[in-house]
Amino acid sequence: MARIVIADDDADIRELVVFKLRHGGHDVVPVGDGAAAVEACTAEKPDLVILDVMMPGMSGLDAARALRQDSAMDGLPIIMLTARAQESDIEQGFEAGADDYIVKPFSPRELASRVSAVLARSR
Amino acid sequence: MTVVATSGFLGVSWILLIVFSVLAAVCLVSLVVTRAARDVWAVRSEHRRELVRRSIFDLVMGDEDEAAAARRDLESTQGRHRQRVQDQILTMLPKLRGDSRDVLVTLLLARGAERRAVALTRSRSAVRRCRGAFQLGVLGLTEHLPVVVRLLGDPAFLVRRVAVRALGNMGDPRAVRPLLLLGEHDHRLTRDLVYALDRLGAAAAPELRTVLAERLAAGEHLHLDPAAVVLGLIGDRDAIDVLATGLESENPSLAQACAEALGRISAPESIPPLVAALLDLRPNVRAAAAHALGSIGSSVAADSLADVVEEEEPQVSRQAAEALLRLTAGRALLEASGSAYAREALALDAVRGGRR
Amino acid sequence: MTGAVPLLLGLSGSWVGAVLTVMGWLFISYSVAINSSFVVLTFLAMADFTAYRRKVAFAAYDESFAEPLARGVSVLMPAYNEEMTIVASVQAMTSLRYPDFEVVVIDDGSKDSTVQTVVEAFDMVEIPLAQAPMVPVKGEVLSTWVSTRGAMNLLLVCKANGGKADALNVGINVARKELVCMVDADSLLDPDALLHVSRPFADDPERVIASGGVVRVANGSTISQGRVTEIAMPRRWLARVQVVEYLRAFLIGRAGWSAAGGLLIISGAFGMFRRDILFEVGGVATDCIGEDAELVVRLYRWMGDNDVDGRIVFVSEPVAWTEAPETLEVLRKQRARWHRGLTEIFSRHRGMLLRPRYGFIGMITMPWFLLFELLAPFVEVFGLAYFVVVVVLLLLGHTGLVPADWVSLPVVVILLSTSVAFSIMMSLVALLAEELSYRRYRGLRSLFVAVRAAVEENVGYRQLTALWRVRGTVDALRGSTHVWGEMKRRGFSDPGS
Repeated sequence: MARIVIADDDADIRELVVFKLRHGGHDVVPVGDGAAAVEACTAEKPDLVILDVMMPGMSGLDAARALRQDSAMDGLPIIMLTARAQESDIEQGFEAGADDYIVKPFSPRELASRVSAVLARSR
Repeated sequence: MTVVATSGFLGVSWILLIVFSVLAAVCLVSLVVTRAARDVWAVRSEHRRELVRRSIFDLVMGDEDEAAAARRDLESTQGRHRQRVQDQILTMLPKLRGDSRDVLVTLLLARGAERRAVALTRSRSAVRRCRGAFQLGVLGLTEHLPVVVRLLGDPAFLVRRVAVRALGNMGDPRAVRPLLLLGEHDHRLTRDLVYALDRLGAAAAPELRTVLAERLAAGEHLHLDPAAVVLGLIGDRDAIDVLATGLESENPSLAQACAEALGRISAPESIPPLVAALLDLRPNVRAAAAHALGSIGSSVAADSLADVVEEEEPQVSRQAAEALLRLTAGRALLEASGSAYAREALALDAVRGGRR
Repeated sequence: MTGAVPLLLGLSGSWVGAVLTVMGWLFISYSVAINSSFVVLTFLAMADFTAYRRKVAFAAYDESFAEPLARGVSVLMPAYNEEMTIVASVQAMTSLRYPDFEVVVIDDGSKDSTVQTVVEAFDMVEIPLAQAPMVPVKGEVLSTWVSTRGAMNLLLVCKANGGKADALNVGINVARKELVCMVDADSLLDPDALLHVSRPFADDPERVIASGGVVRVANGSTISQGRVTEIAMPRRWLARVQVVEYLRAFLIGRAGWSAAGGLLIISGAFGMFRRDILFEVGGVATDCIGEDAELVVRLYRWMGDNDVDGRIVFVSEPVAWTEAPETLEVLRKQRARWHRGLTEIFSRHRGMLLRPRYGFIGMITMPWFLLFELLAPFVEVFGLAYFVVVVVLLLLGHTGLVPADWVSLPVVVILLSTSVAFSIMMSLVALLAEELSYRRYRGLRSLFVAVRAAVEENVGYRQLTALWRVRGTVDALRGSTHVWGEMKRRGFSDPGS
């Protein structure tokens, strides 16, 4: 039972994640871009944030960096959603401060397991 | 003469006036009807999509009862609604992977989606052929690969484009050669080819290498960019040799693509050919080679890059300066350089705190 | 399209009759020619956006946001005395949706606090940016800055005053990406504008050298933070009429021309160019008013002269918005300026007309523009004068001072109505096309506003703009030696420029 922020500009993906995680008993806050994600994190103090890498305005990577720079967000676990599984993109994600990543197209089951694992680790 | 002419002219003018007025009235009526209907229709259609989306989610992610109920709902749709449901499921498919995707594919196939899709590809209407190709691709029905490959030669440009993307979605590496063959005749599909080949991924690499090597050996250097670009995206280390050959191509676009690919692959074996490419006569190739050397990150190339920075060639020197920042020995060389590009790169780096 | 084209009855013996008859037939022929060509363009446009509708169904461009072939884009924004609006404009530009781009603001020696405002608002620091000495520039560069906030892709170049074109050339020299696009400080771009307009470069990288997108009128719509959020028809009649005018001209003229591979000359269009090609042609012309249109023509000329297999592609998706003038005064200056620019372009590039080496552009598009865009207002004005003369003769006929059968009223009325009906029909067709394709406007009320505007346009607006455009051409022909001086004085101080 955790509070999770999901940021993705694709409505279908957002709804999918919301559905799956709510089904798992979590409280989910969906937003559509990086800036809104940072705002939501500051306002809601979630237990986990999921960021899509490619978003308009502030990208997921920039949002991750912004969150890591904010000391109030220390220890906040970040999962990145990325459309490519190339080494350099994964590298960039971890450099920006992500704790884990999921490749799109994605499997809702895999998402749920990773979310549980990351939440367990951070407790 | 003038009396006849003018009365004839007057008659024509009357006719035209009536015609224009009627047409204007028709336009007006169509406008009103379309505008009113669309707004209403948009609201209703969104509501329906939402319901269908719920069902899809229940089916894919819900517990047993919910899934069973959703399956019944989706299967019982008839007529036009059935078509829309199928289309909505098809749009969702490329975003999913694993069990969830399989469940939806099974559902669609059980309702005859395969047969319908193949039939669509034979339709007289170009839009229907597109639909058929798209569906075959997204359903991943590789046994129908030849059907979609045939559509690569379709007279309609849109169908060819959709067929290219469908082959990417389908995931069968046998599509690589026909795709590359198409790229040589159809210049406007570069972006779609790259998408498709990239989707095929590592499985496509052997054939890409082979075709690229063949063409280069035969002296044909045109429109091979997609092959080079995708080998870089895949990160195929076995392709380094053929890309190094492509680096010397007389086609500047291909040489640049090969340099960029070598940069993406980021292997130290690429350094000698890239350093040689720093002396290429074409600025776009030099710039790409400099950038690639920065990605690889080995200080072996530092001196050559420093020479390029001194050249003060706009795009080239800038790339070389930025590349030097990524090499351990590079910073000292930049600081020693008097080039405006070196100053710029150092200043930007200081401001950005080492980022990018 | 002309105003009234009255004919005279049976006056073969009289010289007045003969002259008026001949002129009448001339107007008719011109009218028929221009209207038929519009009909042809309309059909081409219809074909273009039925194709577009289909493409949209399969576009899947969401995936292309992560596009490996997406070349970097430098957005050049020349600015002069924009302290009130600059922050919002820049903010909007930096939040465009594109994987690799930078915004380059070029301050053309503003006398107000534009520079300080930008520097403070975006936490900018001064750094030595290298400038390629590729395109000749007149105003000296004084300082260069970079933003330390966010994606850090905002640059500021301060230079000595030299006019908008010179500012753009400095921007071209400083730009750090492969593709360049030029916007005004008061341009409003769609968030996906760069994606749409860069796509032709990714589709056909070996040949495409420039691309352009459609501009719409933003008046009446809600604008917040430099973005058009809610689209609606404007209240004021002048703005209303311009919306319909733009729709007609852009949708039909542009889509039609795009399908036929033609060229875009309406000012304020949103264009993207390859930077290396801009170096080759010498950047933007500083001694010409319609510099963006002139650039496009010069690119075609360069392709023809050097036998380059290149393409300039137009994307029919609307990507940018502009604030149309809401007062007659400003509108007058704008239209005069546009037509002056058009005249200067034709004067400079008349060597391209009817030369096969310039292909479709030289053989068909440019002559068409010469006849039906450049000369159209002259014909319209003469038609107006003709109509006035005829009415006077009609009245005089009633009073018996001249033979009563010189002019026949029914003929005059019929011909006038036909012309007006045609014009209204064309506007309605454009509205219908917009409805069926892009559907940016909503609600029945805005529809009726638009229809009303289509009618209003023919009663006074067209005639006025024709007069102003004639004035523009006259200015061009007369003032060519004074252009540079005038440019220097005016700069950007014209509101709505």
